[in-house]
Amino acid sequence: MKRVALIALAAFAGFALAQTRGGAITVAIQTEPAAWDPTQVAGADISRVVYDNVLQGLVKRNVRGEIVPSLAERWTVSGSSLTYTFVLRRGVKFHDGTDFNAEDVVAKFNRARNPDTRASGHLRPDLYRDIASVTARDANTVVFSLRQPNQDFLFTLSRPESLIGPSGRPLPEQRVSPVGTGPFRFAGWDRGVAVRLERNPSYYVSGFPYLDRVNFRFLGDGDAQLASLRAGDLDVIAYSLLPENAVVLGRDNNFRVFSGSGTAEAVAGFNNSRAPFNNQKVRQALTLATNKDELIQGAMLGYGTKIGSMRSPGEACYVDLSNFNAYNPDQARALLAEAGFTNQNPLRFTFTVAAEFPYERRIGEALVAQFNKLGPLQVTIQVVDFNTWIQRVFTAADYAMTIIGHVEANDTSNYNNPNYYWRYNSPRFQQLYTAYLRAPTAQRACDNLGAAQRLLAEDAAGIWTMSLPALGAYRARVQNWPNSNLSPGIAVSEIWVR
Amino acid sequence: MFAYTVRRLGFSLLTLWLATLLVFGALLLIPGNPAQAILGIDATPADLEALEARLGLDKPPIERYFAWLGGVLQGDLGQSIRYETSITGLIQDRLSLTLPIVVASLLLATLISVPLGILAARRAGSWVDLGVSVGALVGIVLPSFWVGLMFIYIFIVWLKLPLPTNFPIGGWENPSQALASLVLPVLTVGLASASLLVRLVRGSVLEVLNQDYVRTARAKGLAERVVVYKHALRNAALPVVTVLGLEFAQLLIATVVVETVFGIPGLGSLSLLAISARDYPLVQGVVLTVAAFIVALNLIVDLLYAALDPRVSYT
Repeated sequence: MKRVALIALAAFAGFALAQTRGGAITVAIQTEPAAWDPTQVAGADISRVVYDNVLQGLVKRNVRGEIVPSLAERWTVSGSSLTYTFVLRRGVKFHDGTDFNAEDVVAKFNRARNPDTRASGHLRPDLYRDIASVTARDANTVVFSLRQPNQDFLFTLSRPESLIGPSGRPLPEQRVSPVGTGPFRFAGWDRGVAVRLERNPSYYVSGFPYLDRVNFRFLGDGDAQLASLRAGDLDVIAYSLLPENAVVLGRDNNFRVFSGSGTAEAVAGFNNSRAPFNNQKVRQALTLATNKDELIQGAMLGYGTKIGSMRSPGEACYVDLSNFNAYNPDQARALLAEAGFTNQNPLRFTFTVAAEFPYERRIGEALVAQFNKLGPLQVTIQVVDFNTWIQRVFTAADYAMTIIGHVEANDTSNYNNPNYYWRYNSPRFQQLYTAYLRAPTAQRACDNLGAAQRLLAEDAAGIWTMSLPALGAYRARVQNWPNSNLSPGIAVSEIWVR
Repeated sequence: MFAYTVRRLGFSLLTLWLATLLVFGALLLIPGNPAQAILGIDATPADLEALEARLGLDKPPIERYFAWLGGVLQGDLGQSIRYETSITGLIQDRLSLTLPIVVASLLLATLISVPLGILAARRAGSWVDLGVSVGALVGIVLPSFWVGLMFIYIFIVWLKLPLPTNFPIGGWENPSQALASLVLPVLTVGLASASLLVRLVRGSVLEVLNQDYVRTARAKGLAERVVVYKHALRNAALPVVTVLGLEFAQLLIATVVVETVFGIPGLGSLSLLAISARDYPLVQGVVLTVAAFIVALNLIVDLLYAALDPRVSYT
């Protein structure tokens, strides 16, 4: 045993020697968020920058999507699954020099579960509804009592909304300049250009991070990103690299392309509450008319993973339904005929796409082309700006069919909400989902979640075209960049440059 | 002249006010609201309500508009919803990039287009004329988005000129880098504008050269140089000055295309963001600024007319 440990230590030391400390990198992200505190403002690009770089929670999701300790060193769960006791790391300081302790955790989660969001300024109190109380047993121990078992509790604690800042810090300040405990401190926000992070010299994990500075630059256009990368002004395109640009960069020794699994499902969603898509046969027919392999090859040049329900292969409790209701145009036509739609009397509807998302837009356009090739379908595509999309499709559900990427992990639960924009109202699904959430063991929970995924596929509640790739590229001098990323953040603490 | 200027200024203010009213109304008509734009699709209705209250969006539009207008009259453009910061400051920051780009581009465009346009006009129908016309046409047809990207590849990736592809992080803290980052945008915008102007200069000079007074000047035995540069050019300059003024105003926003390619936070990308984020006060602020520029430029052009053409009177 001792020998194994020694070998491991030697191997680690050898590895550690290879790393260089210092330097800076610039990483492209697509949009400039309105603020930087994910407890107050939602947005995937906020989490990409601050999650586990600036702000940390009790636990975190690593690049493999596993929930691992962060500010909590360890935790225990009572036999009833109703009490979670977290032992906090000692000697942790916020970037403003104040000590992190149990009081910060208690204040944070009391704020999070306050249903009066106007007073708390905290998003999604619904996520924390099951918390009956949160108390500090001592300066380093926090106890959560739940009202009922919740299989997603640790997942909830790993969400960006659960990141922890100093308890007394005014919310407006935290929005524009977040203070946390992470390996980097927030050094500045050049509006319209970039955010700057700087190494936290008193980070509690000794030796980390390697880099002195990390800039996240807002560059929305894929071709402008490519030009900047090739000119050397950009080191990493962290996500949403255009497939054709990935092919070009893949041939060049100066760059490395990575294409791993992510948690984003490109969902071609139906409005399940309205004719014709309140008819399961019609939804199934459209699923059968979808050639997913062709979409992945044609629209994404092979980048992307075929799925058959609302979950990505890298996630826990995933059930492979990728060949369920597989492409079968004859059966699709037969089902449409049963519903009264033929070549002479085709089904006409509008397919709404948000202009801002390059992957979804091209997948949507290709999907509509497949539909129109079938015969009994006449689909018009309508491109709108994202804000209009949110208002019309997402909020008012005034649409027939649409496509968007759902980047959140573990978002099968979206079908549990009958008021969500898909307007999918299935008592059976809701029953299965509750059974999952309240299950006494992880295995039972997974069984129920598996059944829920299968039900969605049988109901053809949507067309899950593919799990979008985590596709990006970086300059060869950047080391240790993960190939795939199932974490909400672009964690840069273990990255170094040659 | 004084009465004329005062009257013009009065009309200008009225125009500015009408512009803000139009834009505010138009923004209310398009779908989407700022709170939803900020919070995105994971927000719950309660989240939205809370944010709307924080932003003051729960008040009726008329009240919001007049609150904004009241601020403007006191010289305060208000707070941006999106950035939660002073709009005056934001616009100043953006103009500190957009104005140099626009001024330098138009300067470059003038330096290229005036000599080439005159040359083409004097040798109308020759190979030189054809070359200039074809070149101008190509410059107009090529989208500046593509031209900008090509410039990056040609000048930075291949020729390895020490120019940044984007506005530097930290901005003007690093003045030489910041200035260097504007070189290719100016080249891109300048060449596009020159392509437009060169045709105008050529046409205008050609027209003047065919007029009677030029023939008289030539008949007097004046040297061709004197005819062209002393007599013809002054008249030919009139339409060119007008178009330059219009082009200036248009470029304040139209540079958004090159701003996207070169990662420059200028006025164009600010206005785009303001509209897509439904940041009503910010859109108003930008519109007011651009409208003020247009009005001021029109005034300058009119005054220049008087200087160039004594027949223009202001009674």
